[in-house]
Amino acid sequence: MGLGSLLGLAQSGLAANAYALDITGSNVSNVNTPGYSRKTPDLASMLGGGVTAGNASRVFDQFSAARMIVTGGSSSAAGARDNALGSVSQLFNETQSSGIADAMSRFFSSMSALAASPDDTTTRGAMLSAADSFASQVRGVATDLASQRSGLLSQAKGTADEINGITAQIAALNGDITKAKASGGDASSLEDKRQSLVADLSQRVDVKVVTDATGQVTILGGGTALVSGSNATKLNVGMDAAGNTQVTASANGGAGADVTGSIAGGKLAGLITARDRDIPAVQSKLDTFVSEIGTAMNTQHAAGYGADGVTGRALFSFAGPPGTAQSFALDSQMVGHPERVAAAADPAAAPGDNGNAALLAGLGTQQIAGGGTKTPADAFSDIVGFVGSTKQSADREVGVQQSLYTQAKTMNDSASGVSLDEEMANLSMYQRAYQANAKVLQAADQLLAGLMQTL
Amino acid sequence: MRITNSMQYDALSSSTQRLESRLLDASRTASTGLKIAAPEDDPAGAAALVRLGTIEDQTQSFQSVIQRVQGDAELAEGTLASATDLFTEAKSVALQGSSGALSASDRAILSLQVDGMLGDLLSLANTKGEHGFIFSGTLTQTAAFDASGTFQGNDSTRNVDIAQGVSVVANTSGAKAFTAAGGTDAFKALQDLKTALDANDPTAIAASVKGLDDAHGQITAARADTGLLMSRLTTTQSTHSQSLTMLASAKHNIADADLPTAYSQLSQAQTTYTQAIAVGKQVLSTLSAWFTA
Repeated sequence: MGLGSLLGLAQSGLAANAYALDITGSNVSNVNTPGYSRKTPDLASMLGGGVTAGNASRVFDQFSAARMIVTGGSSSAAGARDNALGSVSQLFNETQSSGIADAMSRFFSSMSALAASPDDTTTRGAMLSAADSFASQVRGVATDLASQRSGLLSQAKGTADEINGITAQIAALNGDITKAKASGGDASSLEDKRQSLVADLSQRVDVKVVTDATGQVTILGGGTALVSGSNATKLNVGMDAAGNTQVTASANGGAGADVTGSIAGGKLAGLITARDRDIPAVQSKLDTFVSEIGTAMNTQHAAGYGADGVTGRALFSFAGPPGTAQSFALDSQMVGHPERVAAAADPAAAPGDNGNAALLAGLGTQQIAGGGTKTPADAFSDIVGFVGSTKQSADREVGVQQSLYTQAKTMNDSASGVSLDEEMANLSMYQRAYQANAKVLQAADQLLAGLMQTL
Repeated sequence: MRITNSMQYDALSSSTQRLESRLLDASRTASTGLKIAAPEDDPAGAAALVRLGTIEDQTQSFQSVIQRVQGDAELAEGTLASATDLFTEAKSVALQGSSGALSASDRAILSLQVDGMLGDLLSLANTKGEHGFIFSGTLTQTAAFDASGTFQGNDSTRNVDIAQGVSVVANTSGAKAFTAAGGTDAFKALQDLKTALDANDPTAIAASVKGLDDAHGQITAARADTGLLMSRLTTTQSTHSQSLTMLASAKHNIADADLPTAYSQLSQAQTTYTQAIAVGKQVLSTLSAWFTA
């Protein structure tokens, strides 16, 4: 060993620690960068002395990252569903504002008033007005439910567009990472970016990541390979014949395969669940309720006689199901014709006969809904309870999934995240090491200088 | 476990958000006094509120019906009271006219008096209420009697529900009060008196007293029925008022928050939130200690 060797040792130490300081600085600067995985300098001793610095190692825990992706998708799905149900719940919030129940009560009250004053034109008109208001309230809620389904479809389309944008970026990064690795370069920042995009993707659709030996990832999601190598599959959102959401996957822009049933997580799954399961369940209950009430009212009304002596008129008009509630309206032949209200049971006893009006009013407390087992109020309160339970269940699901996601994210951060404390200690360590190597260089220099003077 | 800065920030952020949410809930409950603001807060409670609200509306509707019926019932009762007074007066005229001391001209004067009574009776029997002639049965747009005292209405009843499963006959039967359908034709009884007075026949005048008594009794009976109806309406209305009080109480029990608890929870949430902010500041200052040391 000679002084030249000592100079070489100092040089390698200076270079390795400068590199380590560079990595530490990079870690510190990325402390708040989403998806960033901390790096560690890959220092190794050299044969014959000295130190070498290889490529920085990216600290990445496959298991915790995969767990975070899965729970993130579930949390996002639960959140999207919960948000959608929040709007539905407000439509049935009869606790503080007037709604269908209130309008229905006013309608049956107007029937009672009619039974007390069948010969009063104003009371007849008020009854028609209350019936129209009740139908209008029902129709408004049903139309809002349909609008929400429509809005959710638009959201699903927007989400599919986002998914397609992200998968295209991941596919491009797959190619870039392969090239970088093949040329011996550092691909860790590209991998971080890809990992961040995968996390973003998992918020929108269920994602499973398979990494091959070359560093490329295959992204499986929605029952198809969303990304395979440098190729991305596009998702398209539309409606099937029944009006339900249909998601198709197409690799080449051609007719895609229906993958709707395989969408298992992410925002897209939450939107589909709310749109095609939760809201239709409410619509179906509302349709049944309206159909039963409307049919009973029409049957009884048709049995009576108007002040004009005519019988057989319907009070309400409606179609379906489906779509009963949305088409529910005061029958056109009754609009503006209070004399046609069939209050009388006996045409000869009109206009003071209230026989049919009393029977119509009595329907308010009879079991004409729920398949003949519930009063109108009980049947509607069941719908309110159903909506409340569904939203409450969605709220709880959000809490559970959010908690699982937080745990998974904590695990992942614990492995891959940056700790400033740690980095500051490293900074000090590498700084001191750099200073020590500088001292070695200085000592070697002084020795060489002494030698040169001696010579 | 290795603790990173993002873990600390996330923990701070999520705990602050959770506490903010709790603070918002607590402040909403304390400010509104309601523990159910939406169906999901208590689905069973929200459904019960709908049911109770409907029962409340139905009860108020029954009260409204009672008020409508009461108006015409009070009018009928007052009219029948006047009619009984009229027949009391007619009987007095008959007794006076049957006296042998009266001359034919005296009886002619009494006949004119009875003639006026016939007009008064026609007017009373054709009294109009809020929604038509109150003694015409269900033919409320037709006068109960024509000028000759012939009944033009019918004897149909108008049954009205005044409570769940409780129905009353809301109209007073003009047929039973004033016509032979009730046993005596009141108009005929008066007419018989007038005819006897015009004929200056003391015997026939005395004989007419029975008809007048029968008509008086018949109208009194109809008045008693109307009085019973009014009494029943008043009693039922009182019951409804009590029911409404109980229903309101039941609704409050379900929907209202316990205010001392709500204020206590609000205070607790505020304190916890303030402490969390203080802890957050402390953690952030610790994180920056490296740079200030």
